[in-house]
Amino acid sequence: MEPCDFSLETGSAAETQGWGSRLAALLKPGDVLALAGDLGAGKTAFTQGLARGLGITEPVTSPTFTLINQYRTAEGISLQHVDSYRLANAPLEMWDVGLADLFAGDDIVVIEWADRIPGLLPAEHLEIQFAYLSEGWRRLCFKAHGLQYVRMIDRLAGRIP
Amino acid sequence: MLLALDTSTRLAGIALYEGVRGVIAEQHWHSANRHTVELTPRIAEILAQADVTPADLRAVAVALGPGSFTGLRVALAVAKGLALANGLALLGIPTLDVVAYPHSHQPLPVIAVVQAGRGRVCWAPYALGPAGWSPEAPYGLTTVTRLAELVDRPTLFAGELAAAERATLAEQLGERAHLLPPALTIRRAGYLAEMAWDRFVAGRADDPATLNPIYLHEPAAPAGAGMA
Repeated sequence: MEPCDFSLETGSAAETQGWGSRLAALLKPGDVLALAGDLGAGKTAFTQGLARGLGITEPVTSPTFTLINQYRTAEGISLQHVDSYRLANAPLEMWDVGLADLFAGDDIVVIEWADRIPGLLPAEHLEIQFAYLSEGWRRLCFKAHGLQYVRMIDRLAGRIP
Repeated sequence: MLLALDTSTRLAGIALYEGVRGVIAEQHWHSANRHTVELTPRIAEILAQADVTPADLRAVAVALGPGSFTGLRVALAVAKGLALANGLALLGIPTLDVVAYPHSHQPLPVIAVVQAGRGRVCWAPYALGPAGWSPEAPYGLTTVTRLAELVDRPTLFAGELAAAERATLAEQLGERAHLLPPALTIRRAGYLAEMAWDRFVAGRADDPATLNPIYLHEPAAPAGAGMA
């Protein structure tokens, strides 16, 4: 595996959610998060924490069948939660759904199974890989694509205030 | 009579046009990406206001993009549906051609832009060449700052630009940047209608089975897997 810009281990889904909430505080409109990792590796738990961190109170579930779920905070920030797990030809079908319009807008976009749609992601995004270690334990690996995400990871890791 | 539809960007427009009278009716509105629900009621409305029935229509024109992925597909789907149901000629016109059209009778070279999101524009240079008024280079996709670096002569900028983007161009290019007041840069559906009418009269309609939008990004798709 390529080296991570920042990695950590979590011992429970709640802890994974906690890191999602922490990252939420660093997000700006238009940010793109590309999540990858096996089923049950923590992608959805992380997104749930992130949504809570943004102030979204609705329950967040994987948009496996709806492909995209949209949430809106009281402050008017939108979170687009995308899942390309179900798609047989994920790049073509996600393109067909109109993913480009999400990346052209000002919403925060979180994509689960982002590794299935190479070529559709904007050049600048935050990649997060989730790995199953053992019962309860997960490893999260953050990689920055673009300067703004280098800074975001540095803040998340507590290297800069 | 020709009906023109343009939902390339958030600024949507429709127009009715006829060779002798020119633009008969025209309307524009800002759509918060609700083209799907807004377009067909607007068409019914403009037809009623102009006392035109679908039976009076002979052609339907559509702006092909580049622009919003979903927006392009909304107008093209509606245009194809109208064309097939009413036996109308279908004419697709590139959106940047529509942006550049009102500036085709002045001497400055033109750069036409449409918003591509996240601070980027899709653009092309237009000038009067051997082939008439047409794009001089393939479409580019870049930021306004980067676009300004490519401009080395006095140039007229056509198309929707945010206030900050206009300021960037003015600052980087000084007197070389010819910027118009925002209202003069509106991409009017009447322009689209007139360009399409000329092609309709010349008998150069498009095939509804093969006419596709011009997308900003194409996926690396298997051959033949394009959109119907």
